[in-house]
Amino acid sequence: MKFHGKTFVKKLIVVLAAGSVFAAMALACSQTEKPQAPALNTATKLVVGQNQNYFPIITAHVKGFFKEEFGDRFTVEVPKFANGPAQAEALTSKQIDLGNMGDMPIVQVRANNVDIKVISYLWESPDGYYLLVNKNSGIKSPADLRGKKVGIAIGTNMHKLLFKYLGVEKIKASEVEIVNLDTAGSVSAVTEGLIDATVLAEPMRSRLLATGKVAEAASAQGYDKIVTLLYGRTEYLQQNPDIVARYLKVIDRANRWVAENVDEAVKIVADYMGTTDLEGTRQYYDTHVFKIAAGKDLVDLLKGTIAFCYSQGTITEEFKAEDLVDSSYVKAAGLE
Amino acid sequence: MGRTNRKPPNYFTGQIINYALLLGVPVMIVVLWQFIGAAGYLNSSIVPTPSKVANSFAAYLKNGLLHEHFFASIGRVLSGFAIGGVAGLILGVLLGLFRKFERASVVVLGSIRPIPMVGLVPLFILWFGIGEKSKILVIAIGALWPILLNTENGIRNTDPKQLEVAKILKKNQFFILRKIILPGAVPLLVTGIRLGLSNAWRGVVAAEMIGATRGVGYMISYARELAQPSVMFVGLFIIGIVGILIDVLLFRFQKRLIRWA
Repeated sequence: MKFHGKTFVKKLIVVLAAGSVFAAMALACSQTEKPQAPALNTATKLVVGQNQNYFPIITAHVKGFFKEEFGDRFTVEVPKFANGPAQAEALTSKQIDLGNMGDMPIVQVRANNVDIKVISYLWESPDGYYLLVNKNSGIKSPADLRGKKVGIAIGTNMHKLLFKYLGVEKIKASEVEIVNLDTAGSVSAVTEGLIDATVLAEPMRSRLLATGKVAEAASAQGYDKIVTLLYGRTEYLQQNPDIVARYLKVIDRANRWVAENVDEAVKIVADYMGTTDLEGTRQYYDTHVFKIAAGKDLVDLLKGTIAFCYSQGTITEEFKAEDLVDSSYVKAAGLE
Repeated sequence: MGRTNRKPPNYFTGQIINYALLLGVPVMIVVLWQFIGAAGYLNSSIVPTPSKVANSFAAYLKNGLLHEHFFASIGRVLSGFAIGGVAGLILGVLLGLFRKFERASVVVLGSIRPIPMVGLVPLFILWFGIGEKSKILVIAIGALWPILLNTENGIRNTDPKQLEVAKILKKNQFFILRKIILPGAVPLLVTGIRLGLSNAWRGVVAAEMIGATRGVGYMISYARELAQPSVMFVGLFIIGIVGILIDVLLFRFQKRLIRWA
């Protein structure tokens, strides 16, 4: 073999160029530069991800509670996302500092090595989620789901509840056709019979029952505790502990205000969400208990979720729930 | 002393170098990627290491999901390609043979052609539902255009001398079509088929991202929702590798088929 000559040199240049290009791309993707340790609580902005109808966040934003707490020099942004997995993408690219999503997407994100801590509940819904079925599907209860087509948003509370239904009825996920559909898609698909069933919350349940084409086959009671949890990027939490504690105080204040002014809060939230369906918005509130808390039950809840996700194969390694929860911010806010 | 067919001594060396470059560059990229990722210079939540991707691949292979998704996609691609291919062939022949038909269709077809397959997915779901029909038709549209255009061009580019000779010999239209025009169009037609199949395979990802229950595209979107980038990469690699294989196999088939050309 000749290690000299124009042809060899050309080929060597090609190989080296390819390697250099890849190395440059890899370094450009790297986001692991360690910043120098800054002073605490110097952030001038807080970006909080939320999904739909999160009463205390919307109310605090619209009523100016954030401004009253933090002043004009500090900005609180509350971008809206379609669901937890959509929020997770923004979190992974560090576009949000705090967020609110279900326990399952939180566990999925944490299993993907995104450094977050769960700092509180946002709400729990003892009886606000349902298995809704097309009346022609032949489904009377979760036991009839085998072989059926179910539309859900993958990776959300609804997905987990479906898995819980299947687990209780000893049906494997592979025995059900799971279609990835967002809420709007699921609503129209189950109404038209394109799917046999879906899992949704109020006010979608009431709207679907009103069509006369959809029936309720089960609620979440006895199957799963549906929650949304407040989490934060560990980096932001550790660098801005006071800001986070004050944020929790604002949310707690908003919770109390909403409880005392439900009708006005419903109008604020409906208006913010761009809907005229006040009754549906009220139904959402009535089926969700908003609270700020981070006790042992939160750790136990997440232990169960981690074990469940592992058993379903959606995560490949278990991790400790105790490492995921940080109740210090709730305590610092004086809310425990 | 007769001539021999022995290859020159540096032929095999050249072949070794060629294959070393062919395989060596991807291997080097993977090794560098693993090294950089393992050293912590990559955000593993966004760019998992090759070993993680390999583990996910192995897990999916073991639990049978990989072949289930793969063959679901292959089935859709073949169905869509068949529909798009036949439609492209028929339309290409009509457009190539009949100027007036071409004039009448140029605006409509020219407006539809630039629409990407991804853009058609929501519309087709609206029209045809979330079942197989909408997915196969999206793939069919992807396969249609290269076959249509290449068939049309192949027919238009028939050697005019051959047509003149056929005219002089008073051959009928059917004879001309069968013996001169269509055989002459074969090289471009085969190129169109190669491109059409590649397009169909690419289109399967877009078609399966909404309303699917199986398939490589579904596997990628499922993994996206569950924050599993390593599984997403498995899906993307499958798409890439199969895409190369389709291209290489069809290219070789094309070379053999039109060797006489």
